[in-house]
Amino acid sequence: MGKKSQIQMGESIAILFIFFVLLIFGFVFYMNIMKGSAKVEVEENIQLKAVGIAQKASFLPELQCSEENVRVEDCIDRHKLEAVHNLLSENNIYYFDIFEFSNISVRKVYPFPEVGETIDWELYDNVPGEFTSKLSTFIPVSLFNSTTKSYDFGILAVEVYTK
Amino acid sequence: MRKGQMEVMGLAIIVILVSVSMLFAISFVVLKKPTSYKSEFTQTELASNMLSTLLETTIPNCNDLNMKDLYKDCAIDPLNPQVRCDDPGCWLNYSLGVGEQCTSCEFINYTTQVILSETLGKWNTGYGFIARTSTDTLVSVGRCPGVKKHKIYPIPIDPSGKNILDVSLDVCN
Repeated sequence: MGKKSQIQMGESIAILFIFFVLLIFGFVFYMNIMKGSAKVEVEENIQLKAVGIAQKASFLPELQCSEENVRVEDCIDRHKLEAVHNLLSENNIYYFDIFEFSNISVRKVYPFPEVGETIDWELYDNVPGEFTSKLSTFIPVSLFNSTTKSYDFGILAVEVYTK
Repeated sequence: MRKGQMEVMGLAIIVILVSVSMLFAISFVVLKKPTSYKSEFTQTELASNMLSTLLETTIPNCNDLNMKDLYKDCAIDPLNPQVRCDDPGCWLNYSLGVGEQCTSCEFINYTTQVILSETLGKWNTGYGFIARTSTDTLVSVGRCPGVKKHKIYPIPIDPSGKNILDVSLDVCN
């Protein structure tokens, strides 16, 4: 074999080597970009899920106030609230489709409670043993007492967990 | 210029263009921050719900009037409000004497501060609350500089509807 052809082969091998090195660098770079954007998408999806569950909780017909069959906005019926506590825990499997892994509770903030008055209602509690993220949403709501026709200031707290 | 030099120039331009486009791609894809759907939703929902719920709240120590009525009473004549509230918290806050009662203006100031600090304050959410007519500022709690969600709740304070009390809440990070 001539010296010239040996040099040419060496050149070809060097070019191929550099080509593959560049290819590997490009691939690693591309994978990193994809990983980054996938992470962003996962985070956005978790947030959307949390918002969705908070919306479902605040529009739950089992809790809503109504006057002459017309829904009152941002309002929870106190009598329904006390009844729903048992309803949700007894039908945990049905409500899992709606609320998944979350904790939903209502707390009365104002007027300040009298002695012995209930101010916390735990509506749904399905917290996984291990979770990767927890997003809390607080929604101010009026707590309507149809007996005294009064509205208290309350907070609907929705905590959504992701495994 | 020789042919070889022209080729090198062309290659250099191509390399520069490729590098610039790569930089753009990196800045748009890699450095893209996730859209904060939850924070957007929470702030919008908080600002509007907080105002409507606060104004709807019934006050047993003020003849079962709601906060909106008390704001109205204060706005009509801030120097001489008609409604008095027999509320121990407000009484203590203003260090009133025996037998004295809070005016509607004192009461809305006290109660608004209490509710906002018990909620937004405890959640470390910035807020700025202001209730004012064209002539007077009735309540002003907190400040919210920079990016915020703003909600306003206008309350007509006389039958003609000319005088309006603007109750507004800003929620910020």
